[in-house]
Amino acid sequence: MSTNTKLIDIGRDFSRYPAGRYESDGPFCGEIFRQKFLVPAITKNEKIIIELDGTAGYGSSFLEEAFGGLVRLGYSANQIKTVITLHSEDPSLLEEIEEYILDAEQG
Amino acid sequence: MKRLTPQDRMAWLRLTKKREKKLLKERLKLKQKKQRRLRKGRKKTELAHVHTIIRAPIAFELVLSKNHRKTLEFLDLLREKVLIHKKPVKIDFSDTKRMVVCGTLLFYSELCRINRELGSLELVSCTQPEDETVAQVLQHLGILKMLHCRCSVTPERADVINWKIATGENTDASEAGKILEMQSKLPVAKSKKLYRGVSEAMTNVSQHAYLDLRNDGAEIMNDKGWWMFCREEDDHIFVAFCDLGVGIPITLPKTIEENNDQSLFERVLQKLFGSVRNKYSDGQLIRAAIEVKRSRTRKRHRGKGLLDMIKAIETTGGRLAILSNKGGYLYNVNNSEPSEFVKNYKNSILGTLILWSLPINADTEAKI
Repeated sequence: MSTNTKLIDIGRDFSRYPAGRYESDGPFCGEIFRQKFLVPAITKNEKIIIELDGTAGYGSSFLEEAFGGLVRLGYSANQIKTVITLHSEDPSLLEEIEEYILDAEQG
Repeated sequence: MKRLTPQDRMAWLRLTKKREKKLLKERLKLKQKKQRRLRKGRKKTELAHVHTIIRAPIAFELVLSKNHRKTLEFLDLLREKVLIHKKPVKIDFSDTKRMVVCGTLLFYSELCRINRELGSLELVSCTQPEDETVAQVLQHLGILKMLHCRCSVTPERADVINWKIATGENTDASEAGKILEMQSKLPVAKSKKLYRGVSEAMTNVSQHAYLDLRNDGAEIMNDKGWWMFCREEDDHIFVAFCDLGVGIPITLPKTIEENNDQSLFERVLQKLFGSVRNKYSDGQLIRAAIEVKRSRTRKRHRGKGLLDMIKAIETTGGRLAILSNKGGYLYNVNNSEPSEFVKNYKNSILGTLILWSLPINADTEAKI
């Protein structure tokens, strides 16, 4: 890991119990996570690693809004992939997030 | 001393009589007032004891049609008497022999809703349950205390004390997540799948369930909330999640319209039921809601909550029951073979209840 790369552990830095899509859904939703951690990193072009494994799990609404929502804000899939590296022991989780980003770009 | 003239004596006698009469009248008035006060007090005490007795069902259960009807008739009556007419009721638990997760959760949720709306459960009391296990379950869940029943039973049965409760109003899933993580026999991967289903159920509640008034005549404007029970047995985990909103059959047409999915919806109905009709049963609408999510290839961000609920058991095996209003959808995965069927009931649960049953060992058959 390069010294410039910042590690964001969702379970430690955000919540062990992420859930919901929009801010109106609750305090640990995808929208708040995106605005608090992902958007600032992309705006500053600051590379980050997202550690996904330290939580109780994820619902699709949280993941879609956090990552697919970046595309709807105007960032391209390539831009997102350049800045954000995802880490999880569960490969299906990584595939799912990638799918949300690509679907948002096509939709 | 001056002697009174006969005229003065007569006048004096008249005055004395008049005074006595006045005194008697005042005493009588006081007596009548006292009696009126007594009568009023007695009436009040008598009224406090005039409550309707509602017999609780033999089984608080919602999957089998007969139990579903009996449980809902009981809840309808409870709501009507207490929430709509504000009349005192006494719940008679003497027939009750079984408290199953789904039926008990709906009962608990209804009590919490009445409590929130009226500010207390003063109007609801109960008799002490005769069945020892039923008494332990009601005691453990705090229902006997809520209903002012001084029952000395101590919950000690293993299949009673492992019932856990979480409630909330939005998608703050900390309480529910902690409960799932606490289940010692539940492997982490299964716990994460269940968390996925539960957190999506919460998101659905937050976004759709309470957009309209619940169709129960109570006209509660700021209805909200969800309730969850989790129960671990030797070989199974049961998780039930419930809201008292308008139900999937009501929200589905609205979400279809919002997402411009009319043509997809018609294709789904055609595929599932052969033709597009004017009216579908609630069970068919739940089935259609799931199929719409499966058939959507784009705009996934519009939500796939129901699929997440299925995902919780798809790879691990188990059963999922979605009950919403008068409909029921059952999805069963046994030896990696999925099967699904639709059920319709006579009564409406006036909300949505999702029940997962996961076998802890892969070779155990799921039960509900």
